[in-house]
Amino acid sequence: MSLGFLNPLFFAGITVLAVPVLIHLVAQRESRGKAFPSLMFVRRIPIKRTRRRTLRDPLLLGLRSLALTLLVVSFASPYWHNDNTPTVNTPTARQTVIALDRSYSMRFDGRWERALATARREIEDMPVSARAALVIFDNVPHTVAAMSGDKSHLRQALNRVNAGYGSTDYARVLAHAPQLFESHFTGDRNVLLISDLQLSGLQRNRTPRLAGPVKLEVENVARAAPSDLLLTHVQVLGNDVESARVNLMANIDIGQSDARSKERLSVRVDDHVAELRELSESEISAGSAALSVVPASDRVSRVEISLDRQDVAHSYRLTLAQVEPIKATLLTTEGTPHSAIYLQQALALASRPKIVVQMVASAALNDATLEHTDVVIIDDVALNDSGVIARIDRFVNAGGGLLTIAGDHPLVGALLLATSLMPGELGGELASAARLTELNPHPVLATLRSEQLRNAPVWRRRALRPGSEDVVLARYSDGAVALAERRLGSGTSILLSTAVSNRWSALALEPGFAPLAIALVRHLAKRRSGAGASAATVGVTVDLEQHAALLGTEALLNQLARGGVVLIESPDGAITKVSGSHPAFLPSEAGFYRLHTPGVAATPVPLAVNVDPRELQFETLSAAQFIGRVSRDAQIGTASSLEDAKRNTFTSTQWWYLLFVVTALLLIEGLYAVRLMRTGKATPKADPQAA
Amino acid sequence: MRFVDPQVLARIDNLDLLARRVVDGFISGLHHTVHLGVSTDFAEHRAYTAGDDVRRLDWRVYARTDRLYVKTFEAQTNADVVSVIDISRSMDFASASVSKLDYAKFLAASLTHLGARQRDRVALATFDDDLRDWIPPSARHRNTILRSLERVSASAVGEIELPMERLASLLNRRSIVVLISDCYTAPERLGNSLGLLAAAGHDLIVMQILDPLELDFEMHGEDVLEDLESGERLSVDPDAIRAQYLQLIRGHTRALETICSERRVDYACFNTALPLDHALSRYLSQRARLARRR
Repeated sequence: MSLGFLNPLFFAGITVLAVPVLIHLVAQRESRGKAFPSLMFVRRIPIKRTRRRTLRDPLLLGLRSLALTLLVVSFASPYWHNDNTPTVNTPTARQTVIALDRSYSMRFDGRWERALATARREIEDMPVSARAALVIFDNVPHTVAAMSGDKSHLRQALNRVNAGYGSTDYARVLAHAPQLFESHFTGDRNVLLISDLQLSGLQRNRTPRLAGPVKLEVENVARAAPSDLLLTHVQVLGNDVESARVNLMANIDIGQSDARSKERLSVRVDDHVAELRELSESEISAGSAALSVVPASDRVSRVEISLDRQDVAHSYRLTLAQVEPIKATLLTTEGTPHSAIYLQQALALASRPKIVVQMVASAALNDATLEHTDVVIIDDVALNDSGVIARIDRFVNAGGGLLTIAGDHPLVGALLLATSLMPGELGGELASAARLTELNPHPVLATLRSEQLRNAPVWRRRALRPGSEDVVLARYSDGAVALAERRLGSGTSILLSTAVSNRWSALALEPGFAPLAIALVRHLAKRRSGAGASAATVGVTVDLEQHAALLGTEALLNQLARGGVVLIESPDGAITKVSGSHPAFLPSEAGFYRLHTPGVAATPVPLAVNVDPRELQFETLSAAQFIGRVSRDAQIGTASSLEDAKRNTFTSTQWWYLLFVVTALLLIEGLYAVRLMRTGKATPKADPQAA
Repeated sequence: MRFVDPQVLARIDNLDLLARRVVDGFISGLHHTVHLGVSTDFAEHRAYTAGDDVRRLDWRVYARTDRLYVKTFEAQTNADVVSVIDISRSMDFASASVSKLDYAKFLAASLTHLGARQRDRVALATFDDDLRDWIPPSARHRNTILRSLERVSASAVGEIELPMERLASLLNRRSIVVLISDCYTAPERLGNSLGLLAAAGHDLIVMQILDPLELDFEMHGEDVLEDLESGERLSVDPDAIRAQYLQLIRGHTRALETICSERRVDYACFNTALPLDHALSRYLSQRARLARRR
């Protein structure tokens, strides 16, 4: 460890040590002297009237000098750095990280061109001894040029960058930029942020943090917010099964526009104009327009909705597949048609796709019924017919879904005897009550907030011992299994070990019950049913399996299920290869991607990607406002930042301690000086009469 | 006996009040008061009232105006008391709140009040390198002197011989001359001036006023001292020269005392840090004892 100084120029202040001496000398030379009535006697004294100039109180001088020296050192911002780091004594006095905003909003109004010009000017004006690094950022910072003094290298890096489609996140770039400073560098550290200073870039959960003692400079390249209409989002409202139309709602931001009519909205399906109409004044005033499209029946359709006349080129894209409702068959006991009322009510809330529940008496379940069924639901009914059980077994193995809810009826024992339909061995009732406590990260539960179900008491439940290949989805507070899943052939079976009734549990009364029931049915039916729409966002990871399931693309689903390779072709033609059990993809630009399945003769599946809607909020800040917000929220210059700890270098708050020491020294010096003064005045006076 | 601190006296602006506060209660004055009879010095006419001595009626005025007036005369005095104050710049020094000049003014005011109380004729002279103010002796000049004292300020370099010569020429009657000064002059020159006045038959008193800092030289740390009169500056280390300084100033006061004694002149040294009434009463008591001995 050795000592360095962030502001060594402050050492020029050490010359202040000479100030007291100079003042003393000058003051002595120019002093008017102390008045005395007459020097007639003093003049007559033959010996030297003054002593040699020697230090009369070296301790006092030492204290004062030490205090001044420490004061100077504290302002020089001392820090320790590891000797293992390169100890090149760099002569550069300034290093700059140029952080260039490439988010989607930078495409408007010539902002990107101005930003490039600013960055280029910064590089060209860079002194010979200075160094710079280049970072481009949207919601993710990316270093395109490390710290370098080579201007041509920086120029080339700058020429390679383009505006992107991502959203803005200032917190990430402010955390990233200080890492680019060389660890041994002790001069001025600057971050030049070139951006349109979108307010939405600060309104994220992360606190903007500029690690280390870094000076932040901000260049605002935004001039004004776009004045035209903006299409910010398109919402899929639902589908009309009869007409096969999908209803959409386009959200329009009128912003500062004064347009009230003759704005046209176009809907393109698979590159063909499906609808082109003028927006009504009421639609513009309301900020929304209703649309409906008919997706192709044999493939996934690419739908692009855009405002026709505007200078801000923005469209919203989504993929739509022919929508079919999920068909669920709910087995009932003869004479109790109103059983499973909670479950029916919950599933009726589903949309995109809807869940159509048909009630069938358990004894009447036949192959014809199962042919048009996606999911069979057994909600605590007696099921003793081995023929029915065998049909359900075949149904599930062929890809169907089975949801079983255990309760009063001992159906499960019979099922177990006949097949292995249940995910585990179901036992008798457990004596104690419990609550749902643990919800595993499973696609079924991903959309649920676990708090919505955790408070639900479960008074009665059955013991469930899942097999080694079964997946436990949820447990009770005592660790017992509440929900388990088993794959059977191409299908899936899920068992809930408590009934949805007031005599067993309060699950049905919890707000999370309906989403859970819908998610379970969708999960069980996804291998058979095509469903709704899909739209991804730049910078947000896409689960390809979920995307394929939403669109019902069998070829892609099978390819993903096998862990095969999927080639993703971006709108600009770049190919990305994805494979694995949980394939995910991070889109980086807006437009339609194409998902290819090599080795499978199938049409590529489109993937619609849009920009983050926050990026279309054009409210910006001034440079001063931005620095004010960042300064207020950020912790600038802290020594304990993680980044600095990694470099094993810390810029310290030691100078505060030094200031405390200086204060203490000055206090001691003051007390000592007062003591000296008091000692000097303690001589008794002469009696004139005696004289 | 109450003694009033000089710093308390310094807060009293009215010299009349100050003088009364200092002098009231003194038993002895500068000399023994002897009332020899009615004065012949006419003062003023006053309307006759019942009980007045008819021998004092002014019949000439009665003849002219047909009204009865009596003549009043100044009381008989037996001495002229002349306060002579040194107002050179060296007197304008104070290590505390009371300067030597202030102390001298207190003394002069007190002596004037004391003289007036004894029905003496009082006078005032101030001098630096020449005689500046001169208020001739009169029994009615007490207030004039006090007012004049209030206006006195130090201004020039001190000198002793010329002012004393001028003063000697102004004094027609034998007087009690009180010289109040810090006596920063050669003892021989002071002796010559005193000899001139003594030869004219005046009763001389020398009151030397010194600041405590002049007496003990209690300063610390090297410093530059500036002579108040000449402006000369000397860098000194008081700690180093204190002993020699004290020896010299004590030698000076002893020489003054000797010269005064040789010319039958009373000498007293006053420290401005000590109560004025205490110092004055002590001096007057001493003088009274000497007078009885004579």
